[in-house]
Amino acid sequence: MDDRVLVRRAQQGDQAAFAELVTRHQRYVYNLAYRLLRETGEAEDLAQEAFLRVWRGLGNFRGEARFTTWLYRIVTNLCYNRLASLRRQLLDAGEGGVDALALPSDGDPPAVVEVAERRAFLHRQIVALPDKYRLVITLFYLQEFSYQEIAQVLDLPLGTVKTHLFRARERLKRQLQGSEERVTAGVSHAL
Amino acid sequence: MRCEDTRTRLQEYLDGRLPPPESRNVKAHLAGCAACREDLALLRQVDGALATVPLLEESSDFTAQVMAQVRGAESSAGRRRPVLGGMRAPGQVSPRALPPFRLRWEDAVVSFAFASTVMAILSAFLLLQPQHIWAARAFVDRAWWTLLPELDRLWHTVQMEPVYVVWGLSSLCMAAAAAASAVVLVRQWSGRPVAVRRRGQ
Repeated sequence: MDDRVLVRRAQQGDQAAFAELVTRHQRYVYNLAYRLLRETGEAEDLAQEAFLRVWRGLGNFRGEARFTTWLYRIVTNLCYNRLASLRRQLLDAGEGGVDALALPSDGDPPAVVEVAERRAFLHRQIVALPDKYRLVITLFYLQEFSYQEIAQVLDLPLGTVKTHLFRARERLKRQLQGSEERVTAGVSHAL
Repeated sequence: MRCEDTRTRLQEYLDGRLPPPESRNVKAHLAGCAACREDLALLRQVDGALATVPLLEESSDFTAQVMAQVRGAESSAGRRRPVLGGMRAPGQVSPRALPPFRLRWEDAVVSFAFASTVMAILSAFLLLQPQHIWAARAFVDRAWWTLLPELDRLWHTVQMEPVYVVWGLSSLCMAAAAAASAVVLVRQWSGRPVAVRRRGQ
């Protein structure tokens, strides 16, 4: 059943329809909260609070935007409350281009060779990304929102969303590139 | 197209969000530039990694916990907010679903105890000051003898003009309806009847 139908039923007080909406979206909401807060208990509390706010606000939801856009807007607003600097970070798109990207100063990246190893390496780097990048890439990849929808959810200009997404991926690409250069250097040294 | 221009567009190219003419330009550049192809390959790996970040599982009773909070919020909202027309918030029921008025035995006991106390105080007062009994009795006698001729006149009028009976009964019905409406409104404003506990909650 379509989200819109469930939302309409829930607006009429149908708790079963709302429970279906919760079941349908809870994993993604919980994972978004977890990727920002990095603590399972807090993430679950935030996700539950988000759904409760959705229930309370259903009367004001007019259906002009997608239900998920509205839902994630509530989730990110709750995240702003928990992570005081997140909103400020998001609004700061910075000036410089790709070259201005700062890489984390935790030493050289480890050399990775295998595909699975590369993927695991990248997953670790994602966790270490700044909050604003994790938020944007999670909305883009987890929920498969368009740039425009992310801009709506986060209440940011479209250009800022593109910049954050670009920088997050560029940063990961550079880290991967660095790790592969180390492999190449290691092979040359061995020869 | 230069390498620098291509690289700033590679992500949107990968996302399939470049306008067709720009996408064709990027594709043409990639065909002849090994460095940009390598860049694209790295981005594809990043893209693949981002799309495959494992999802954590929420607790198995997540929905049940949310719904318990929803029900809690619903009943407390019902106590707080009266609903008098307009759009109802979810979980609030229509005035038609108001529970029927029932006299509960706890209420009856409290009322009886209160009435008995008032009677006891009044009796004690009258026993201690019996002159008030005579004064009260004189008042009742005077009222009765004033009222009796009026009642007698009314009775004769009713016998002569039965339409007054209809008028009287209609007036009583209207008064009863007005009283019932007032009770419903007062109960609505107090917010008590809005949240009705449903079976199984």
